[in-house]
Amino acid sequence: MGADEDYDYLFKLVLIGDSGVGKSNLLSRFTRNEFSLETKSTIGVEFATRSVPVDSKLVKAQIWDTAGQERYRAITSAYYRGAVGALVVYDVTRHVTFENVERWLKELRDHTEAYVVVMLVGNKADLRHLRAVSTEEATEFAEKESIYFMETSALESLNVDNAFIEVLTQIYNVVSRKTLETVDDDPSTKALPKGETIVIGTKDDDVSAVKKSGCCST
Amino acid sequence: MDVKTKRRAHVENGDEGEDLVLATLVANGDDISPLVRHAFEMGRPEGLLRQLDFVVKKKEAEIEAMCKTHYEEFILAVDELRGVLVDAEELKSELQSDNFKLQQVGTTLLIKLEELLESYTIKKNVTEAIKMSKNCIKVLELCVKCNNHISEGQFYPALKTVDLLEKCYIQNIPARALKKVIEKKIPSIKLHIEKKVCSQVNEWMVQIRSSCKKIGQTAIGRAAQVRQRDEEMLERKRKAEGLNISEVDDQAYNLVVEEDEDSAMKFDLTPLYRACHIHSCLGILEQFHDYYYKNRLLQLNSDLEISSAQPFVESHQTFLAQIAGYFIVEDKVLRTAGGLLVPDKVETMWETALAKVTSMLDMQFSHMNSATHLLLVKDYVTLLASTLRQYGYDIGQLLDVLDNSRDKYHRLLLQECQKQIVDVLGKDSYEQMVIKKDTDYENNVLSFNIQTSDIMPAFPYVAPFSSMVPDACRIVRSFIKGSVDYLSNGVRTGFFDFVRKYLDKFLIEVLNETLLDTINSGNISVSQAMQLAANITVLERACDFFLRHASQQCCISVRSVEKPQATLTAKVLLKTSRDAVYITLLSLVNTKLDEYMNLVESINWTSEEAKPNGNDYINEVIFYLDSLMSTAQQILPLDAMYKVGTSAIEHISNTIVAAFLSDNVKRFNANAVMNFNNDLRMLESFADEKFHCSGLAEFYSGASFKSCMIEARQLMNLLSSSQPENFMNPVIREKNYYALDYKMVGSICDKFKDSPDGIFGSLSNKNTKQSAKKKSMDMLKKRLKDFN
Repeated sequence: MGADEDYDYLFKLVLIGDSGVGKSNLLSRFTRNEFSLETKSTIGVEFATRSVPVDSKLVKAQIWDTAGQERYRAITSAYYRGAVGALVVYDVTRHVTFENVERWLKELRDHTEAYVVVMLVGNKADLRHLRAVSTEEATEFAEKESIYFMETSALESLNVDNAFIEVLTQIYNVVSRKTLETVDDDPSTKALPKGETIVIGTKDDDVSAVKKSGCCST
Repeated sequence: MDVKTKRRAHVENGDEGEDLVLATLVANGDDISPLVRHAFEMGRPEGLLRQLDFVVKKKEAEIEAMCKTHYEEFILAVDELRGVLVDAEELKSELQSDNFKLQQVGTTLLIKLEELLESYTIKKNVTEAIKMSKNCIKVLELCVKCNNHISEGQFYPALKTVDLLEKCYIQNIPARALKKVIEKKIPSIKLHIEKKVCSQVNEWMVQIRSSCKKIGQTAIGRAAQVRQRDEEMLERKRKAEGLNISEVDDQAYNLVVEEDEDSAMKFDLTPLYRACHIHSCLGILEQFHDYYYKNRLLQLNSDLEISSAQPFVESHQTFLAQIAGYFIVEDKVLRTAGGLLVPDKVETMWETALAKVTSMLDMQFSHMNSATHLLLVKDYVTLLASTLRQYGYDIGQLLDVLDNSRDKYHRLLLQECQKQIVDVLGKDSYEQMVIKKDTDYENNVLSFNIQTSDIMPAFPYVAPFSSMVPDACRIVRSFIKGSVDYLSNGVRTGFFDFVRKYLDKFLIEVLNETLLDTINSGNISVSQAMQLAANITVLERACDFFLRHASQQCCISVRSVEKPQATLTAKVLLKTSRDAVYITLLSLVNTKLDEYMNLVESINWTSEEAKPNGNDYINEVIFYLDSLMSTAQQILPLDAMYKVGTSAIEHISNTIVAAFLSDNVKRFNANAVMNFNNDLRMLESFADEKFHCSGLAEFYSGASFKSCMIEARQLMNLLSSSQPENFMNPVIREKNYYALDYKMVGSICDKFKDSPDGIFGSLSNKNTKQSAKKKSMDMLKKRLKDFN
């Protein structure tokens, strides 16, 4: 199926965060524009795709969603393998989910390369009367961790596309910059085939430059 | 007219009466149907038919007669008609011609007429359309009005308009399309209004939630002010109680102050009232009640989640104020929102909060390791309790949590005070405290009621106790204060028994145990032990003050704690500790005396000459005893001083006797005996002098320090006697040597060897006397040997 589609890049993103913060609804809202009020826990791993244009290129996002509970985390390494972007999701109405973000970040960094683009996502922002994590608190945390930050509402479709597209754009920026460098280094790679996943070696300077550009909260 | 006349003649000439009747009816045009119906109903229509045939025949005859009479007139009439026909044809031709002319002339008029008719049709349609349009305009105006109301957020007028549309207009809308659109939109509008109103309620919830902390803090602040006033009144009552004033006029302090409502307490519930009203108009009030309850419960559960980022001691005030504010708001909603909340629902909310808060407090209290922290939280919890009690909430479980943590708090308080006590004891100089001015005397003596007289002494004043005593008293007082602080203010009434129990526990387990540890540590000197004994004596007396102070703090009558059974158990144990320190003191004194009286090694037991001033050690011993007794006289009670003296002197006596018995002493001579006898005389002289000068003689009139040296004295008398054999005489022994033991005397006498081998022994005048004594001693030795 995927081979037939025409796209320029395939980026793997992972959704991580505590159980019940709305990861699956973020995924379904972005890929199928659907929202489910059922609170059914994700079993194991699910993924879905959606292609979006980024800077005149067609980027296919392969987004992986997993359960937040401990019992489904046996396949952690496979889940993270090859990921170039991550959305760390917490529920703005439950402070404990925000407190656990630090643990999720640690796990992410243990299993992925340093150049992974990370965005902190505060979901359920529509429930203003139940808010337990202030925007300022999360902004401060994101700045400290050098990651992007947005507040979303999968229910009201608020900022969901923006969050994913922002991550994809930043990944594209990193990749295209490295591609240019690669092209400069080796002329033979000009004939790069379409649709192939690009694995970029570690270059901290560029990643730091991207991360230090500051958070883009709403 | 002729025809008519002839016809009548025929009728009048009828033969049968019945036929005449029927014919008359027919002629008059009357209705004969009843007759016909009657005939057929009777089943015999033949008669009627015959009559009708008769009438027919008569009429036919009349017609034929008339035709015969007038046949010529017929012919003339036909001729005339033929003439008329010709005229008619002419007229027809003329008419056709005229018609053609009219048609030519009226063609334009006809067109006009058609136009006129068409215009009338159009006018009718337009009139109808205008009428319909007016109705539609009216409806649309209402729609516009409704839209305006919705745009301006005026949902109640909007609903009124929708209702009006729904009930009065929608069925009469002539335009079907418009009707369909409106019918379709009305539910959407209602849903929109509902969502908007719920959105407003959510907005209100956001706002009220951020206000709750302020509301709670304000309410708790007021409770704190009320408590402050109560505390001031209580303080006056305590002072009055201390002065034993039987009645205090409380009326003087009942000052009612009208307080203006704080701005924080004037929170706005208008959006809520409005939402209730809107939902009532929408007919879904119950749904809104559920919505409100569910979301407020969610907010409450969110508020009840405490962040672990901040220590509870720092965050608890904000947390509890938020809860207080929440329930103050719900109380107002319950009272003023017309059934939005019912008491059961608020009760469920309160039980939810109560369960969460109590379990969290239990957990936090179990983790706390500082009495100050526990007291801080307890203080705020009691303020929260008294605040919410005013709003009708049951706070029993909150107070139970504090009760359950009472032992924990006091354990921590004990630990903290124990550190202070150990520190105070560790830093004590064990010297009598010198007080230089009256304020110091006030602070260190009078305030703890440990003065020895009611007269202010001259300064500088040397107290019998060291600085450890007032320091310890201050710690005990702070313990009492800490205990009262925890147990007062809403925990429970009648908490004096608890304070007393914990005070006793503190004095026994902390103060007394620390003192005992110091006593048993083996690191204190004689003077320190003596000072400790004096200190404990004063602390024992201070127990009465502690109990009285505790009762004052609890506002218990002083008289009720002055009963004998109201004494602290600690007082008895302190007395026991004082006895323990006396034992230690005596042990130390004896050890010191042993250092001075190393008799076995330092004494020449076979001296060649007597020493009128005694052995060297005795001066040191007497000097030491003198300073010991002087110090004891200054700081110890007389009974303790007496005990010290008797113990020391008795020890000296025992040491002397033990020296004579020692295996290291193989022999001694008469000079040695003479020297020890001189020692005893000096010691006895000192003892008598000290006994009388210290005032002990007045209290122990039948006693004497000398009686403690009886064993040594009798031994010396025996060894110095010219007739030692008298020891075997029962009467003499009972009178003069009752303290001496047979075995002991036997052992010592065996060592007694005079100097018969002296160079000039045989030439001395003493020879005779010495010989006599020797004989007597030898006899005693022999008899004792036989006896044993």
